[in-house]
Amino acid sequence: MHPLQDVQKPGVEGTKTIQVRVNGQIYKREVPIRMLLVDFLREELGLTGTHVGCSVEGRCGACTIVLNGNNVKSCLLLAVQADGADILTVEGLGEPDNLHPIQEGFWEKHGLQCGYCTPGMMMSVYNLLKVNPHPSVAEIREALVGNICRCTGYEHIIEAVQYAADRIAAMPKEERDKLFSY
Amino acid sequence: MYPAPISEYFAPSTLEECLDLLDQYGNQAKILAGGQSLIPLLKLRMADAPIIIDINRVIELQEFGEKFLESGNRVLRIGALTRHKTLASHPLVLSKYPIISDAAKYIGDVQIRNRGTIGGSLVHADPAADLPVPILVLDSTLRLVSKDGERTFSADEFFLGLMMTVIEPNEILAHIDIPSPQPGTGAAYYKYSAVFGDFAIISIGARITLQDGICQSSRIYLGGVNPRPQRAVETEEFLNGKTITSEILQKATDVMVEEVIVESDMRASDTFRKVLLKQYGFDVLSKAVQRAKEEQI
Repeated sequence: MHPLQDVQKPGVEGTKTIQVRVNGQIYKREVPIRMLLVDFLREELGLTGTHVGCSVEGRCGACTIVLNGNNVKSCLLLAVQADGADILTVEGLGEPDNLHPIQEGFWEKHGLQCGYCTPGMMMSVYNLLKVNPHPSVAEIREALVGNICRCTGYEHIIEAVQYAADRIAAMPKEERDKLFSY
Repeated sequence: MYPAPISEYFAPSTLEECLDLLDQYGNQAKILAGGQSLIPLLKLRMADAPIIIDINRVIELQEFGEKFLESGNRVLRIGALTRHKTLASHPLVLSKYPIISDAAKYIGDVQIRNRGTIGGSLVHADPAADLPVPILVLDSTLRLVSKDGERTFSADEFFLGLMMTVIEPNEILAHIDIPSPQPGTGAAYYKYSAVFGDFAIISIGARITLQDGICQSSRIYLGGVNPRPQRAVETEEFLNGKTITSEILQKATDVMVEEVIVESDMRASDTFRKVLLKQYGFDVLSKAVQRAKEEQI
């Protein structure tokens, strides 16, 4: 028999209390150990901007968040692993009347059609522009390999990233640092 | 999609604590490192873990850098928790061990490389994974530890078959030691996959030591073609002792295509894999020779 087919009976449901900082706010919750971080954000905290796409193997990237300074897929982490972590989700990026330059880029360059992949896309762009303020087209494409969009063909997304990069580059250093505090 | 219920979760911060837990729970527990393979397997109910031991806080597993062993030999020590991101971008890897970044930089995508670890990849032993091949090519040794003591294996002894290694339920992989290469050594790795960052349809790793243009020794492994990476011994023997020219590398590639037993699966036929091997085998050997001149493995 294939070793992966060796399915055993499930264990008993255990829980654990965790404390996390999400978009600057501290939350303390008791969660099932098997709860995924993405479900914790959506179901427990009501932060439904982080999406669930493929839901299984972490291919689509719609659930991408920034965890302790790195963009990761929140469907491939247990919520209990985030105990003590600092998290940024799309809700923490900007406000409707004060968009983050990355959000502005997607708005101005029409970097979306249905918008389902957009929050995850923007969290990956956040991590890209934090370390590489002037990415080439190839670098943008490589940074977004883990975020799948089935509408746009990516062209407008790349223009959105370039728009954001230009906007940010034109800002004074202090303001730039404030945009990338995670 | 949820994993099945998990009854206990431990996040030890020292190796000693971790080994105590493994000793106590052994078979029932799964070690959670990057989780980029384990979490999907738990969701699909292909793996079962009533108990999770999260090792992400264990400092002893995070070593990374060159060091001298008691024997006086210098090695590159890679702690099992070293992330793919580090292997893909660390200046030490890029300047002296580029075969490792060749492999690490095309694992999955940015998000996966931010979480995934070398220890997880090696212990998981997916035949199409990227890191086993360079680890084998560089004649690395793997240190396993448990409450009962330590065991050291060569990479070749470590991998047994499809997702099977010598590791026991109470053991954990602590680190990988990559020996310092002989002068005049170069190495390279290439993967062909259907989609950027996907698992290998075929991957090739080669290490060649040159002196005055003559091949002193070589090591070649192929990934993605068999239940575990396969060594191309006849190709190595063909190369050893020969003056390396483009023509010899071409002939060596033919030997490799002839020698290697490849299988068909849902991703590719054996015929297609041989075509890829003929195409890319030569490129990898050439790159290894070029790097030998620059002392880069």
